[in-house]
Amino acid sequence: MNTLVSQPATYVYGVAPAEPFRDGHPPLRVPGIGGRSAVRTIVLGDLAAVVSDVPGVDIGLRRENLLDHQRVLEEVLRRSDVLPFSFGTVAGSDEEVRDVLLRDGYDSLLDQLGYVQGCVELEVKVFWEQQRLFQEIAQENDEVRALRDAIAEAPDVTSAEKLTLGQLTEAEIEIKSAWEADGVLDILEQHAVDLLVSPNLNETMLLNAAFLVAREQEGEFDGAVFGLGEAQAGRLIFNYVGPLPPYSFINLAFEGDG
Amino acid sequence: MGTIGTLLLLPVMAPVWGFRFLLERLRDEADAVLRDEGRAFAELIDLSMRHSVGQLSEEEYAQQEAELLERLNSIREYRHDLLRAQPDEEEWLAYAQQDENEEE
Amino acid sequence: MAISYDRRAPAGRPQQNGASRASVQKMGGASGLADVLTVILEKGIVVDAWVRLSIIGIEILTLEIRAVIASVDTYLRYAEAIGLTALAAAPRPEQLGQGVATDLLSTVTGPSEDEILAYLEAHPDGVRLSELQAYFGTDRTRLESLLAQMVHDGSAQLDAQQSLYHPTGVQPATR
Repeated sequence: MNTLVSQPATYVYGVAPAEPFRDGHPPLRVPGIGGRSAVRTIVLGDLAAVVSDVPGVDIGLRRENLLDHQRVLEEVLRRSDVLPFSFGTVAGSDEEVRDVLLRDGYDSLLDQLGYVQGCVELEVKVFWEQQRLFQEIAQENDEVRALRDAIAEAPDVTSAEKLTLGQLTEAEIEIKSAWEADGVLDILEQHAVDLLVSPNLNETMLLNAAFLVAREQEGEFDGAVFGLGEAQAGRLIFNYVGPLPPYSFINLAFEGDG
Repeated sequence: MGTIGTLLLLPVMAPVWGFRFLLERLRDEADAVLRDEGRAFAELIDLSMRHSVGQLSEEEYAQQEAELLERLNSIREYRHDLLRAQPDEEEWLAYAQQDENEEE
Repeated sequence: MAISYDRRAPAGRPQQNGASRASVQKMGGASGLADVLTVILEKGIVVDAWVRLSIIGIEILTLEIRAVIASVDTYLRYAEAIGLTALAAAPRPEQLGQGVATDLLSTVTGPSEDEILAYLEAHPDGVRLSELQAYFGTDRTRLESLLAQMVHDGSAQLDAQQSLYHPTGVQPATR
């Protein structure tokens, strides 16, 4: 795939309400991708696209670029709601941003902003402490324990028996994980406006969820997560990231010419 | 990247190989790409977790993260190529029609 | 590959910044970049049809992280891990060698102490670490840690001068 490396383009970070970015408000003091261009806004009506100049349409997946993207959005999020764009969205020019994104998408964008108004995204991933998990399964499930003991005493263990034990264990892991996940969700969803549960990424993960939380509820949400972490210390591991702009709660896409 | 080559030959070869067969190839390829991507994301999470509990040094983490990002980069490019190789809507409909006609 | 985020693993890194209390640390999106990569790359506003492979007449394939599918290998590992829960929970020495995780699952794929002992007994002239490595096809650090445990328990001894391991003929105390 050919890339137009030398043609200047406009990188789009997100779309925010125009109000906090109109003339008279302080400019955004955060460097754009590549570190050399200023982050600025393109305003149309009540919408402001947050953009910066980049040397070409191809922005590689490198840590520096990803960090720049995220930092810009975090800076915007400090002062305003913002709908984040997926990493790597580059328009040919400011005009394209104004016409294709802001003008054509005006109503949808306003709707989306209305939906996430005053909220941030908080991400929670929960993992098992593996030792604890297997100990609990052996304690709680008679069949697993019996099979375990039978295998230990048998001089020639076939892989078929081990497979059976493994499958039984796996089924138990599914049940226990679902139960724990429900427990965590029951507690956390009380402080959230919306939530999105995604598939678990590896075999020790039991929950992978994004929460849309009102800014004034963020402290309470923190408390709930910390409380769960302490209550489950040594048994569950919590990975907690935020606040983020509401990536997971966006329901629109612009069809391009591909 | 055999499937992309295959797809580019679509206008010529569809009547010979069958439209449905090529569609299935495309879908298999898409599944494979998405699985690869899922695996790469899973490895990134695993990397981050192991780093945060101290199982990896800063250098190890930085190096492995860079490798995973590189892998993701290639996967994304391949996905873009896969999409670009698709004929547009009208062409697809034409092939589907052709296929049906031939089955009769 | 066994996965474990056991916090008892050797730590040597400073805690990250951010609000925290005991067990959970809250990280910002930039400091927790790897954790939010899935979201930054696959969610948010998407500007073109590249994220979706759409095939007319058949279902639209959107990007979805494929959930982990258990395999035969997974089942066998689980069986081993459950097997290990039968052992008395005698804690192993904290640091047996560079990079050795102290969690149970790290010893899952490889020979047991009994198997190593059997090999030692079959070769009374003494066995080198490299021989064991070649025979069992497992990695060095894992073998070293098991052997260190066996020396500690008294079931094996190391002739340091010639780097040979011998069985002692003494049954280890706890089994």
